[in-house]
Amino acid sequence: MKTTFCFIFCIIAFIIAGCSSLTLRPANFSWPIEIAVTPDVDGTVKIPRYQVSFNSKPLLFEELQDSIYVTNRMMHVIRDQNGYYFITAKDFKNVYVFNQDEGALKLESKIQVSENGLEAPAFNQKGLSVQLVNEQKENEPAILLSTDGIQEGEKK
Amino acid sequence: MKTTLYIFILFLGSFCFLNARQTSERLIVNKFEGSVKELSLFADSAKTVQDCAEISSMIDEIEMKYAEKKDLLDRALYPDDYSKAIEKLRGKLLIRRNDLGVIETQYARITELEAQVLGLSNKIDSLDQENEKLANAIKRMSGSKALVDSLKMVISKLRKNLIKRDEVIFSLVDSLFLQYDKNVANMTDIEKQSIYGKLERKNVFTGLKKSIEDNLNFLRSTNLTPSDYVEIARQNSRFTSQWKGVGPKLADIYLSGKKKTDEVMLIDSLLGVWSKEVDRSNWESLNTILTKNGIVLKPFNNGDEFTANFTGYVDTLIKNTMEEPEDVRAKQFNAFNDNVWKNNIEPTWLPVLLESGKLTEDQVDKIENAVDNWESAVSPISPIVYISIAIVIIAIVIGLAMRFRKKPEEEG
Repeated sequence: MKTTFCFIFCIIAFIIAGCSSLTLRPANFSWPIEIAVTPDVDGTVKIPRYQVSFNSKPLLFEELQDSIYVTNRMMHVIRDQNGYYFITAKDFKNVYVFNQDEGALKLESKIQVSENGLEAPAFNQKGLSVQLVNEQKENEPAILLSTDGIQEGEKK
Repeated sequence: MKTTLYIFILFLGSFCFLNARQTSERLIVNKFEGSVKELSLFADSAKTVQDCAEISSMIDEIEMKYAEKKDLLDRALYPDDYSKAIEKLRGKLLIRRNDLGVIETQYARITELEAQVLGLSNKIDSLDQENEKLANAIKRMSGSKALVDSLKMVISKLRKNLIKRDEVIFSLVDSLFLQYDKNVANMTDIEKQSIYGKLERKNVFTGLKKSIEDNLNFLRSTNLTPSDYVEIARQNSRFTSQWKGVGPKLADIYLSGKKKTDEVMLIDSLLGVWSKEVDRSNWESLNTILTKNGIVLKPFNNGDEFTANFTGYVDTLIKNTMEEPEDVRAKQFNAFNDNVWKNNIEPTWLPVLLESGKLTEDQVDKIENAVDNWESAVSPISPIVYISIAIVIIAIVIGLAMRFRKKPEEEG
């Protein structure tokens, strides 16, 4: 009886230990500056510094309905503290926020930031948020973004 | 109340934070990396001690320029951080210096001169920016009568700045040549190439051309006073003599480059245009002063014509062909003497015209003599002269009277 009880107790203990998730907190995934990179002929964006690559064709098609001419579009990518990827490019009307998934980037949110398309977008890392600026116009007001949308500033 | 104030400060702070930094940080990092890469290549290809000194001050410059972005660069650069990137550059330069066998004392002296060059070069940039603002202000104010005083101040500031800029660019060229401690003729090909590179990097030709063009534009702008013209004439002759010293050196350095030889000639011709314009506006301004004060001379465009016409005019007045009364003539001379001669021409114009070679000493003497003669011709005779004449006449009369009295006595 005693042995059976011990055996059951051990099994329960193992099950409990196996079910509880171990969390490492805090963690910071932010990149200090954005990466501006052109996709290769296959539409793959490669970021060697962080060993990241992804296929940009679906994104380009979603935004521009064109995924043929991919090599002439500079993609601006930055990762925020929580690990979300913010992606946009020239002439985009939106900033796309992706989360990491199994072998993929999954769209978390799509933030409209411009009526007519961005002129020269660039991301800056600003604490918990991501700042979107116009690279060519220093005096143009910036927009602060988070996964939920625009935090500060107005659409361009 | 306190809470409201904190909320307001917080709001203002976040507003400033949002609006203060809107540049792309990636661009800043890229620019820094680009500069480091470029300087690294320069260090590898340095051939002389002067090259090393120049690269050393360029490293100082980028270190200073990006010091306030250190936090960002430390985070963004990989695998090095900001300090390590600078340190690596200095290390590379040190190795190159050792390879070239640079003597430390010589290097220290040249580095000092190079720092001077860098300082002067930055000064030129800031003066250019300031002068552009002043020139725009002059354009804006020129139409408004209410802003006359402000306009005068701006013109005076711009005139001073132009003089300063001219001085700075020549000092820069001097400091560059001083590093080599020898005549261009005695320089090796490597040294010539090195100074050639420096002159190019510091945009010396563009700077010199800009100096002349800015001076020309200033001269052509309206609302200049006679004293402005005098200063411009002075500046023109200073610039010309400095260019005479520097021009041949630059020509020697650029002897093989056709394009640059043309640039030396272009500066020569631009300087010629400026000098002619200064000449023309000087004579015009002088004529305006005289005409405004009732002295109408025949047109003159050079020293000979001015001397001949002025002395001729004065001769006519001395001869009094119009037969004007004495008091009118005296009044005319006094007006000229007080308003033009003593106030303007004698203390200001004549020395400048003499200094710039537009008048010779002989011509200045002639003009001064003419004025002296004019003064003598119109000045009333002094009462002392009348009294002396009277005394002499009385003495003669008394003498004669005594003589006539003596004669009858002798006869008696």
